[in-house]
Amino acid sequence: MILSFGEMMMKSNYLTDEQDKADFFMLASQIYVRLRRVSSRVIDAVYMVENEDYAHEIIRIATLVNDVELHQLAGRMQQIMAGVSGVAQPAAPVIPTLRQPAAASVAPAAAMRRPVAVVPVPEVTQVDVAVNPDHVPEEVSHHYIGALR
Amino acid sequence: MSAAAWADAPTAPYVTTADTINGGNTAWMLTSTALVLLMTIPGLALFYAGMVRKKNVLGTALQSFVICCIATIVWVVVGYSIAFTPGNGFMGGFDHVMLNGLVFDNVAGKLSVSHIAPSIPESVWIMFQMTFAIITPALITGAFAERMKFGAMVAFITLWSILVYAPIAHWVWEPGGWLFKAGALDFAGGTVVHINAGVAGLMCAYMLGKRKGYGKEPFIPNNLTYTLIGASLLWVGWFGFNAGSAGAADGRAGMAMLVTQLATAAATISWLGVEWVLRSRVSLLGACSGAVAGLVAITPASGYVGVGGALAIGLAAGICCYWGATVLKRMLNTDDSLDVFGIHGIGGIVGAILTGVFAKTAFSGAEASVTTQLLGVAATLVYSGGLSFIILFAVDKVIGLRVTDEQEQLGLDIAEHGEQVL
Repeated sequence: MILSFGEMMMKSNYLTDEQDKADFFMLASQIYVRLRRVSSRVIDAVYMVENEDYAHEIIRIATLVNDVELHQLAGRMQQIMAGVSGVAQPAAPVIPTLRQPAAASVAPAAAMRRPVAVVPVPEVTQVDVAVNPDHVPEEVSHHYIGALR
Repeated sequence: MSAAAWADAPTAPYVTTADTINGGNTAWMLTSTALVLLMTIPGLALFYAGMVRKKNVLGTALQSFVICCIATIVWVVVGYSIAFTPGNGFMGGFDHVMLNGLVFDNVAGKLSVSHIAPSIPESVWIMFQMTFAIITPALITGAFAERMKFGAMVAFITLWSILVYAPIAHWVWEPGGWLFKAGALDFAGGTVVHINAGVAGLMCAYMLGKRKGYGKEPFIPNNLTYTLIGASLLWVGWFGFNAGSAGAADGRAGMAMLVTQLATAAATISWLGVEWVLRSRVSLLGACSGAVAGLVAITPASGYVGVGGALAIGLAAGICCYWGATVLKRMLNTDDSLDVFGIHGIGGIVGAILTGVFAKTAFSGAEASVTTQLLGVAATLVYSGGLSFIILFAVDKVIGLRVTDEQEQLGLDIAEHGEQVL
């Protein structure tokens, strides 16, 4: 899919409500952390707020990963986006494999301006426990959350 | 020089003839002064700016730059007089306000010297000590990074330099100071600079509260290359800090430089060793942090210990400061953003105590005592922590310490300074 400049502009800054933006960014940050932990993917949380296509793609990737917390976060994000567009977004299928190869899980998207990178992270763990996103622990062991070093 | 040896020496700055000045010592102290200034601008500015988020890079670097200017003026107006001229045990007099008494008469061949460093012009001594008065408050900025109002920062640093830094420098370094008389050893500022800045930073972190999203969102450093460059500048500049504190280009300065290099290398390796054991990796930020930990810890000891002591202090500093920046930080439950207390506070305490363990009498004639070192640590923690709290409380009531939530979300670069990094 190739978008014109006008379409691109319409896709940018699609969240107009400040509260939606704040909520969306909070969820994007949590998806950033979770995706990096469970599948070594690095995404751009800020760009998710700015570009609707990119956000959809990341949600799609998040739902492909076999992780309950990611599915919950993706679901909440879709609710916000549905509120913005007025049309509920179809939920992406959940594939029960543990981790998808990068090439298989990332569909080509010409409109995307940010790569979804895969980087080696030694602390890759698979914690399939349901976590309420409203109650993220105050201090967790992940790098850069609650500790610089 | 030991406390006993000071008994027959002049007790205040005095005017002497130009032929008593040692050209070699003066050249080294001029060089050291430039090196220590380099530690703050750009060293510390880059070190800190690399660790904050992109939206706060400029504001963080600007704080170090502006503090350089504020501390310079405060030092000339009143700081030097309080710190390095006779008064009582707790603070110096006010006879040298605005550097009154500074003499330089090239025609008559007369100039003033400090009683503490009589072989160099007083102007050079003033400048050298000024660079210490600059970097100490600049270190504190790491604790309140990303959320303090610029105006509140200016007010706090101005008051803190006068009411906290200058008196503690007098206690420890001026021969009339009560800790000096008690025999507390602090060659280059482990207590005066690092414990002092560390505990003041901890107070700032408590008073300002945590950054929005702290503990929930990743606060990713924007550019650790800046941090590496900053740490490297700190390392090089530290030779002026420690070896320059000999006040002369002599063997003691040489030993101070040697043990500084050794302890820094040891602390870097021990920090990375702990990372390797606990996290199965070593990091660039860990290497930079370990190096600074070693530099901090060897600072009070650098004119007193040999290579064995330096190695032990360095190895201990890497481990203890790692604990300070991780475990202790969680225990304190505060957002000391860039680990000022964890590294400078803990490193300073480790260095001060181990100075009492490893100091060699042959280096200075001074007898070391762990008990006296602990007294110096405790006095600094209490005085600096208490006064910092009072100053912060007052500034909060008058100006307000913290930016609004909106400004914090937007970032200090745009919200406070109207600039940004693209």
